[in-house]
Amino acid sequence: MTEPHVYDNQYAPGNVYGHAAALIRSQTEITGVHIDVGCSFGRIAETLETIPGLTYLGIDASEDGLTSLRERGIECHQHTFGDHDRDREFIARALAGRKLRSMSILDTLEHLVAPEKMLKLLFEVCREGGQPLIVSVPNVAHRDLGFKLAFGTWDYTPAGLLDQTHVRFFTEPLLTKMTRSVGWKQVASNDVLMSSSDQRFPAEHLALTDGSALRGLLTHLNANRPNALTNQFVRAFVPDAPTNESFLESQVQPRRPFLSVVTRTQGKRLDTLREVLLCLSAQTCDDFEVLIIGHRLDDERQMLVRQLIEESCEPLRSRVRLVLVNHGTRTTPLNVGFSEARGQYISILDDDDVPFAHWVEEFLKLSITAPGRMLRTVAVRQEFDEVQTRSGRKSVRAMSGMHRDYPDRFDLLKQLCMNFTPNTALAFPRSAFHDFGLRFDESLTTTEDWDFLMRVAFICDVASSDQITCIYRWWRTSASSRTEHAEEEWQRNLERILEKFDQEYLILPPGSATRLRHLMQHFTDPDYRPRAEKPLKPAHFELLDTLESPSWKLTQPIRIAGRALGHPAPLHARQVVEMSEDAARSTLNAVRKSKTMKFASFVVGLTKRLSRKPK
Amino acid sequence: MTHLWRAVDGARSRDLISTVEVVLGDGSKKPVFDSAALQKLQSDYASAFEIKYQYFGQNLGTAKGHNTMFASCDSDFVVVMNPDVMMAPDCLIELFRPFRSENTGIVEARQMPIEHPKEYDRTTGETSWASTACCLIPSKLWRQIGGFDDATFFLYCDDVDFSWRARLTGYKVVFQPSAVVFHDKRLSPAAHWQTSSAEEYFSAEAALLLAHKYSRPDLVEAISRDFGAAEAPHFKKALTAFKTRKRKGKLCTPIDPEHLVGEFVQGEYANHRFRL
Repeated sequence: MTEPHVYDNQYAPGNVYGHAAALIRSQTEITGVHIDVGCSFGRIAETLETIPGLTYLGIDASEDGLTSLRERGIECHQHTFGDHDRDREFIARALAGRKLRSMSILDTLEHLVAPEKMLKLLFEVCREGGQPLIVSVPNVAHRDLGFKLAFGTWDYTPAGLLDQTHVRFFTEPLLTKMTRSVGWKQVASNDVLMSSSDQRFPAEHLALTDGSALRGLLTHLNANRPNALTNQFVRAFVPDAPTNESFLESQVQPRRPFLSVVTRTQGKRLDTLREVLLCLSAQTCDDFEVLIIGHRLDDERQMLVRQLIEESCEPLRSRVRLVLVNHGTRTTPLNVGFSEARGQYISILDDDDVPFAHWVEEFLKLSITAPGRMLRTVAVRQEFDEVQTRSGRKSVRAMSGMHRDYPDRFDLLKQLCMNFTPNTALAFPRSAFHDFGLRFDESLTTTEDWDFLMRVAFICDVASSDQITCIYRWWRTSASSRTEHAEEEWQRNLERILEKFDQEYLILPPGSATRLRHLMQHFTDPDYRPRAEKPLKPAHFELLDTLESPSWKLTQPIRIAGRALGHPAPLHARQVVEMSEDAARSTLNAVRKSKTMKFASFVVGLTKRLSRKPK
Repeated sequence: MTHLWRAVDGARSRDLISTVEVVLGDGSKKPVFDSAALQKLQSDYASAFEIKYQYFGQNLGTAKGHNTMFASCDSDFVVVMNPDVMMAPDCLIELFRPFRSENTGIVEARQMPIEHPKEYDRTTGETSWASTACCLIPSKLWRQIGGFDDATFFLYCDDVDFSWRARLTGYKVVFQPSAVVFHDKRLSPAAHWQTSSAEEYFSAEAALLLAHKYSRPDLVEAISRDFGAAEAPHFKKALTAFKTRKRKGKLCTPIDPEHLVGEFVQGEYANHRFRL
């Protein structure tokens, strides 16, 4: 038989007692009695009695600690809670007519079969006078517990996070729901954080030992999760109205729309925002909500945006919300929008993007065949200009055909080099943001979308459709992110993102080992050629020939410079070999019509003419 | 209908229109609406417009279909539009604006997501022809030029012909980029315009007929040569149909001998800003 643990933990400013004491001190200044329920040895008592006007009173069921308190001259009482009316009377007798200042219940609730009943009792005691309650409970979601449990280990110990006498295991959501249910409102927190808890054993476990790739990966995945390092929640509450809602999670999840569409606007492109709403009203699948995030809108623009929403027809109109954001960078509205989103998936549709009628439907189809992944369709790029005819309002004018710049499949390794996926062609699983805490990096002024999508892709892989479902508008002459940021800024952000990739352990999809092996063999042996999966067609050879042509090679510097400005990536032979025949043909047409190619043809002709020997 | 309702509401609020009637022309083998469904539709939108339904019992083609429906109209202006086109809330307002100019004949809306590539003047909006995917036409003009040429054209190019005849009469055809409609068209995975077999055949047929009507025997000969040599069967079928009409004396009398309005540019009927 294991000897019962003696809960005589010393006070220290950095431990649960120190943190609780700080909250007890800060929550009220009135003179009165502070009742510490489940006080044990009351090692916090001496510190609390230094607070002006505070008289400490400890209550516990066990005599062990109470003896020590009495010997130290601290007031305490023995009582076993469990009968509501008797418990109320007991507390009243213990107060003996004195004013109640505050209460605490530290590392006690987790030992109770029905902690909600205790919380309700304490609520009724404090409700009339509005006295604060300070609560501490251990956090069962500390990463050390989770890392071990992921590999089948759950170690009870005499004391600590998995104390053998714990019967209720608290996470923050449970603590929040339970306290709200009985009527407590949280007003402050002072949690105890520990990067290594008492559960970090055995030291050689690969999920626990520093330096192992597994721990590195798990630590990184938990980096943005709230409370991964919280050892104990230490919170202050005041009486409020009970919600009486169940604090248990239902296995039946609330109905969510399939997709949340997040549209940022600064109110500068109202004409195209109107078109976005029109396109959304024409979707073949209407299982989505729309969040228009108005960034730094002045009163007039806010009114105009609201008017646009009002003008749109039902049933779209009732599914559109305007959320105002008056701070932060251009990336901040994305984080706000994602945070507000209720959909199973979340997409970004900027206020000048063009979704086809099946944009939502195609994401839905992908989600059914490949649940849990980031969803990707294909966007085409089309060049536009602003226009205003004599008798019309400001509008847009298409200036080019559809540029098939982006491949029809997501390739993680290629995406490490460059972003081949406009935002509009993606739907992110909400879990990446809401459960894993992934956020858009607001310190990046450009290409923040690439940074975010890669971090999501590393976790949940990507399902691709070859359907073209959206148009990415490329503005020829008016302002855009391409023109508003200097080349040096693009380059800086690019380098920062590449650095971030290098700081992480990456999860690669199946098949990556073979591809990396081919790449390494090609890198070390230039004559190496892996067996082609499909035979090449005439279009492939024509395109390869064109890439080898003097005209194309002549304009390489122009295309490299263009790449830093976010222009599509240059082509390499390997990309051509892996293209479908249709894609090769389309790319060949685009190359032939490209400005750099036309320029090159003129230059080559001029060079030839000027090189002719005089007669 | 909901989109049309919002657009009508918007135009009415600006006093641009008063009464509105919607004529639905049904050329399918079986009626799309039974009487109960039609009554419900009419009742749902009664506050916005009157809905008339004409069941043709056969596919009349666009030219004859438009003429048949127009015959029952008694309005000052007519919007010709495809049933799958959805108007932006301010579309009608923007369609009416060019009519402040007296010689405006037809105003065409800009289609989304795939914009028609034909060129138009950035200041005046003037263009070669207007697509009946969605355009606004004064009834007076329609009657003046005798409506669509349903004896010549079945599907495709009837709108090109209508526009050119309006221009021959002295009217302007205007493309209004701010009048926006959504027309559900999609691209192939290779980003190409997707044509149906009907579009392929009737466009081919119409190309020959249009070249003939607008006094371009040189083009008729060139197109005939190409169609005759083409592998795809619809080209030969179109050529055969044209030759049969010619043999039976059923081709229309050519017009525009001075080529004032007819534009035949790289297989299109206007200069294009880009290719799809």
